[in-house]
Amino acid sequence: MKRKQVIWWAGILASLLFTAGLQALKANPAFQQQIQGANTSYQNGNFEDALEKYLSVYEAGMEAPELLLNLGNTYFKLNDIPSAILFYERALRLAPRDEDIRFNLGLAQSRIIDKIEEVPQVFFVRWWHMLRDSLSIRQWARLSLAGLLLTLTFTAIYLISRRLLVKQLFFWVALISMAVTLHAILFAHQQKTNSINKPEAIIFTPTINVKSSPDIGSTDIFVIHEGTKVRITDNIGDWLEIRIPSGSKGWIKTTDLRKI
Amino acid sequence: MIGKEKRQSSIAWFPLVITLIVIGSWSEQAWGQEIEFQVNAPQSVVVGQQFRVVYTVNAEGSNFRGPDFKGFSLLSGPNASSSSNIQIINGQVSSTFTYSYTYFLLADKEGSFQVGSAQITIAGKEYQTRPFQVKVVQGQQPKAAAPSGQGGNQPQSGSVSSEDVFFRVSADKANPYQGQQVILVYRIYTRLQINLPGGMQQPPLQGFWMEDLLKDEKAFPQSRETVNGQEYVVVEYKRLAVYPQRSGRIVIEPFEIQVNARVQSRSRTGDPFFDQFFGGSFFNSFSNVPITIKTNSLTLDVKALPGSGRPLDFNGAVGQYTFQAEASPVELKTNDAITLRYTIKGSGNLKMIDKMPITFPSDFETYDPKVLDNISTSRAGMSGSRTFEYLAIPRAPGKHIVKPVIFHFFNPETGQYQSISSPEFSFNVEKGEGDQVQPAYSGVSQEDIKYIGSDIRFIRTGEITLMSQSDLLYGTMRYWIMVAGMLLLFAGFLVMWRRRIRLLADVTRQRNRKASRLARRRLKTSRQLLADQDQKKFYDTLASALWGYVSDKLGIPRANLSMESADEHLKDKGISDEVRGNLRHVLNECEFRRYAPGSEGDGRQSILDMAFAVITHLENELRK
Repeated sequence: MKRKQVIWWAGILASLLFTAGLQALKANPAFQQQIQGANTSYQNGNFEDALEKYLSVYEAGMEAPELLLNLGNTYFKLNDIPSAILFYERALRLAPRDEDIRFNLGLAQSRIIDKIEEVPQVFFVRWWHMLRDSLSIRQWARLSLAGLLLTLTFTAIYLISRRLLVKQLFFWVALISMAVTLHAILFAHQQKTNSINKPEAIIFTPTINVKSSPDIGSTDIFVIHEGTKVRITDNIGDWLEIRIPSGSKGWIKTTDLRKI
Repeated sequence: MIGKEKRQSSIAWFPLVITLIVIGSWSEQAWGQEIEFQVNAPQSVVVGQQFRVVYTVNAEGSNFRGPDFKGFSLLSGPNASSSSNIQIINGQVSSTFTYSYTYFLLADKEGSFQVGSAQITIAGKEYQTRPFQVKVVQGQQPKAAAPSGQGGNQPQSGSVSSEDVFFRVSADKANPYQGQQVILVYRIYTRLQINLPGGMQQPPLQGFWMEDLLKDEKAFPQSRETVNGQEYVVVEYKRLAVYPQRSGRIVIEPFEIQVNARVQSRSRTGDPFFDQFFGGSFFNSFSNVPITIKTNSLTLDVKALPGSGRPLDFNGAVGQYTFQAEASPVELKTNDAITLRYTIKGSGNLKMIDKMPITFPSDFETYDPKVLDNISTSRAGMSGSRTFEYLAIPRAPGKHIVKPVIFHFFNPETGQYQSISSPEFSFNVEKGEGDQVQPAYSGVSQEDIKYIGSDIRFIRTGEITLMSQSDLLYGTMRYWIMVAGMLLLFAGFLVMWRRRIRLLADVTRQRNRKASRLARRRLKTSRQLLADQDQKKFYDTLASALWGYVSDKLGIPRANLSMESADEHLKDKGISDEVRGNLRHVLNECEFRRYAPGSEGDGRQSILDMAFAVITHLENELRK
């Protein structure tokens, strides 16, 4: 009698957790309506109107890879390439393997002035980063939860089972799912700390002379143009230290860029 | 009177002027009716030189008696000639007569010789000239010995002396700065009619950059000048603006040219006036005598530009300048052209001013500047302006700045360097029309030609699952609650599982502990049944007592036990073969005898004893 009660409570708790974990804010109908209106405007070539509607949803704090892709496309059509790149990049953060977003981002990047060659990294670092960036932070978080659940379940089966073969099988399965879980947590954590400590940003000022130190009178080191992606590595006052993909560093004003 | 004669000779090459002069002479002479009897002879001659002595008189005379030319060889003479001149001016007729007696002489030896006076009788009256001295010198005559005063007249023999034609160079300053403009003038002083070699020759100037100031003139400028009392026609053969290229003493080497002097080779009258007037066409013949004339040499002491205060990017401009810059348009779109003009205006070595270093923004496509010169060369030197016109095309939008350009020059007047800065130009470049990047430009830095004509992929129109931007799941409270919940659930499971295992273990241990007692109790029940008729009941009890014992001891439920598995488990527990054999025997006997009637009472006791013994042995061996 008492044992039955415990199992009941556990079941309720578990299902609650899962509905919370897989929770996604199912659309507020007003937002859906806005998006539909924006889609129609876009198809009719009324990009200003489409932009306004998409932005109203985005600025209300909502996001989805599709919404950001559409915003990027709208900016692209309005010939605001830096903004288009910014939103494509943001969309890629949500859906890193979306082929349409990648294609459009590539097209937008071909329209900017700077072509900065990335410094090649050692292959395993590159693979590690590729693996890390193959899922979004939300996806990694979900994977980690699912992995944890599986690990615990498999461990339980391993413990309960009296048959040797079953025990062996579930021992290994549980070990693998534990490794997956730990990596998922690690990647989610890395993505999060990266986006907080060293956020990437898109340049919005048409032409910037990047300074050697956070001082308007200091030497110009190099020139970058709007649309270029940089990584922010430090900040002092309203100055930001940035690093471009080729590895060069310099200081620019906060107003010159927008974080992805 | 002498002055008048001199004037006649010096203007002999200006036929237009001559007439006027003659008119002037006429009006003085003809109406004055004064008899003039005079001699014209060189003051000095060179040994071996032919020369003429001409006596002229402006009225018809008789009984001319020449002097005794002691110290000279008389080649011919006196040769008499006459000329007349009739003019009609404003209806008035006037005439002049000139008689001349010419001697051709040769200077034999050096020295100073007195020539006596000549006499003539005109209208019964005696006239005579003054005696004069002729100096005969060896070799070329020094310039200082040039005839002056009364004796001077145009030489009419075939020889030309250095005081007839000479060549001079002069500079307007002897002590210029390096790069400062110096005007060099080459002048030919002449009393003869000469043909110049066209000005093609260039003076041998080394260490200078030069500019010909006369290149636009059609003819050589001429003037008149009196040198040592002699009037010369001065021909400006060369006028150069030169700029010393180095400091120190620079020697301007003598410049040598050849001129053709037009010299009267034979005279009938000996009268220069008539000779010139009719030229060679009537009475005289002329020949061109090539002569070489050479300038003096000149030394300039060129000062170096001061080292103190010299700007770093001073590029050698010396003079007085102003500097201006302009740029247009200031508001434009990408790929439109900007014109920047930097103009240097003033006088000095304009043509040597090089373009200034202009730093354009890196997004500007620039070309070499076009150099526009508006330089005029006047007699005072070079002045005007030099403009550097830059064409720049901004390739990227934004606010671009062309930093000020500083033009430095040295002002020789003040001896100081001066700097003029152009304004800073700021260009507001907007993105050009057309959203396509110019292929010509994109080809330079980007490989996106393959994209031209392609378009972005279309928007997503389906239902969108929106998420909150701030909700990244990872790191949220919800996430950790879920992780903690799962771990909690697992921990709960573990606790329950452990407890159940412990419980199970307790049951086994208890049964184990109670097994012997239980078995003995059952065996006692069997003993009471020894005498019982129902042998089946006895064997059942005995078998269940043994099975129960084994089951409890092994912790295996009875239902799961068979003879074989029990034996196996007991073997695992280290029970000896003998004890197991006995156990199997007892169990088999029980099984067998339950259903086999007969042999009443027999063997029951022995089986029971064996069962007791088995249990005792098992107990002993299991305890080990």
